[in-house]
Amino acid sequence: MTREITINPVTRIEGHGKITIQLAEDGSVADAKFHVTQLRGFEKFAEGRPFHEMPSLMARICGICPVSHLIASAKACDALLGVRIPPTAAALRRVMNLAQIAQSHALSFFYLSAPDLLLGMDSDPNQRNLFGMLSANPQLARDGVTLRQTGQQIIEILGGKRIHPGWIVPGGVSEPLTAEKRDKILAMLPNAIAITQQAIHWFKSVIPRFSEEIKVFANFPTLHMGTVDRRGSLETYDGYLRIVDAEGNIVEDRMTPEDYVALIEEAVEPHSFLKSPYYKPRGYLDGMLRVGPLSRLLVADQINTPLANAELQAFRQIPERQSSFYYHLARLIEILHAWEEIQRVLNTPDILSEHVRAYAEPNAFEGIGISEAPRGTLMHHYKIDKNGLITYVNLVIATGHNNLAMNAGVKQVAQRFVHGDRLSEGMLNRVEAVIRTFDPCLSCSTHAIGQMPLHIQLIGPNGEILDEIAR
Amino acid sequence: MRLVIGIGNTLRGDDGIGVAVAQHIAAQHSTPDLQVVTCQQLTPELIALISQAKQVIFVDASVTQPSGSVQAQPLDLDGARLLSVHHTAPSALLMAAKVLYNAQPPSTLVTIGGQDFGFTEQFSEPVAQALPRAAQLIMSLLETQSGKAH
Repeated sequence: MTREITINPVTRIEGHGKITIQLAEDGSVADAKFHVTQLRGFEKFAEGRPFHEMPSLMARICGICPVSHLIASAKACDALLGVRIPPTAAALRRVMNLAQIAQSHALSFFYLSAPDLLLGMDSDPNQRNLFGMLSANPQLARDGVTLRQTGQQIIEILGGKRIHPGWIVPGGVSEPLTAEKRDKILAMLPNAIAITQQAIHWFKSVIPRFSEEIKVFANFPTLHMGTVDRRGSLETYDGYLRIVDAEGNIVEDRMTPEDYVALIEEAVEPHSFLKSPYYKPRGYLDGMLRVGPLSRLLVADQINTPLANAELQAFRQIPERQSSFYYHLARLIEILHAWEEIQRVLNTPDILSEHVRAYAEPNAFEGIGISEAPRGTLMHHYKIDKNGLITYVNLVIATGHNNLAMNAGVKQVAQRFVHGDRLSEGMLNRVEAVIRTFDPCLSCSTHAIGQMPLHIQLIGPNGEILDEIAR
Repeated sequence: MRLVIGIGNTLRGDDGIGVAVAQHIAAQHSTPDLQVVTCQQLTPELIALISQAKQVIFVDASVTQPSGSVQAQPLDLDGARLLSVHHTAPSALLMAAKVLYNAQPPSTLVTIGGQDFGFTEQFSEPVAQALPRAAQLIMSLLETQSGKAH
């Protein structure tokens, strides 16, 4: 007979999920699962809409990363139009995507995970939050505010507003960049770079405190997927899909968006509304993938910006870099890259060109757009009829790619820290914390009213509550 | 800089009145000293902006007030307990601005009672009628504070 611990809802992630831990008779952890309990339905209700509405519709999937969905959707629509967008438009989309990645990573690191990292996994949960962090390390809190604000401001300067900007359109962008806006963005970047370097330095100083977590935070071999450019450098807007194995051997390379159908299969689990994609040639479970900042650094040979590349080369010397704990460090390195790359792109000669949009009627019945969202590779696949109305939508989102690995990570942590004869805040926080390393976005469009409590129950063989924790 | 922060979801009927009032003020009273920000919900990055302001007015819809009523209440730091990315109260942002930047601008929460929070971009009749009254109240609050400053 088994018993079960439920953590519902999981807090400090983007959205609401639940964790159940199955206990065996001897009190050891038999299994653990991460459940996503929301159904959104975007793939279905977009059917019948004119394809040119898709970027705006898809951006509404998420209030945290609307830009990522805008970009993948616009790229799928570019494919439907059969156009190659003007180079300046691609460069401007690239800048907005980098700003999106930076602000989202800053939110994940400074707002969601830093309380654990600063105050410790076993600290008082009443203090282990943003307010606790303000008191314990106000400089770190200020840095988080500044970095998130910088990314948001860049998006707002380019797109007119920070949430759901409508500036990215099929064929390019709706308006060119002005010199005034460019200079305003450039002026923010030196401070952002300095702050990010300080954060990397601080995080490296606390890593030794988490040696136990590093060992079991989804520290197992999986495949990793991300996009790279022709030279194998980190790429976030365009490029080729690359998959590497746990030893770093290249399994797939130079794959185009159209190849995703041959690479990725999507399994449906009975316990969750979140799909479980995997690498099709290796089959379910053996084809378990990870995506996102950690995977992007593991698939890339180098980064094309100097400060971030120096950090990448140091990162590659870390023996346990497969541990999902290192998503945190990868996130900071990608923030650094984002500021450097935005600087580089905004200083290119044609960035103020007024030729930023290609116009066409639909020239294909099927289009696929892929870009790197903050949490990993994002795929939008559309089909249209002769009138340009959507007949099919498939979205493979980053959090889905990580679903199998998140479940395996929860089980690994639970087996190390959870014991059937007792419950403690610290061990249950670690079960949540391994989920947070992936920064899953279950879409924060649905919200609880009021404070989100954490409620954990230990349920005996006959359904009786053996132990209970609430916060 | 005086700061007006309009809060609400414009796709949920009367919930969007805070945003509409803020936009009305921005359109009618454009001065270099006045900054108007709109958002669906309060988030921590507003802390930096608040810390630079000499006065802050939050404007939001209320689910408990009579529909169309307009209320103003000074904000203090009591009860500023929760600061998160999903649910943040104005007082929590003010507390954070004090702790992080040693800034404590006088702040007011203006609320408008709503009645229809369904999927619509239209306001109910009482809330639509309250819009100019709320904007007028905010302008008078801004002028009063500005007068005190002089």
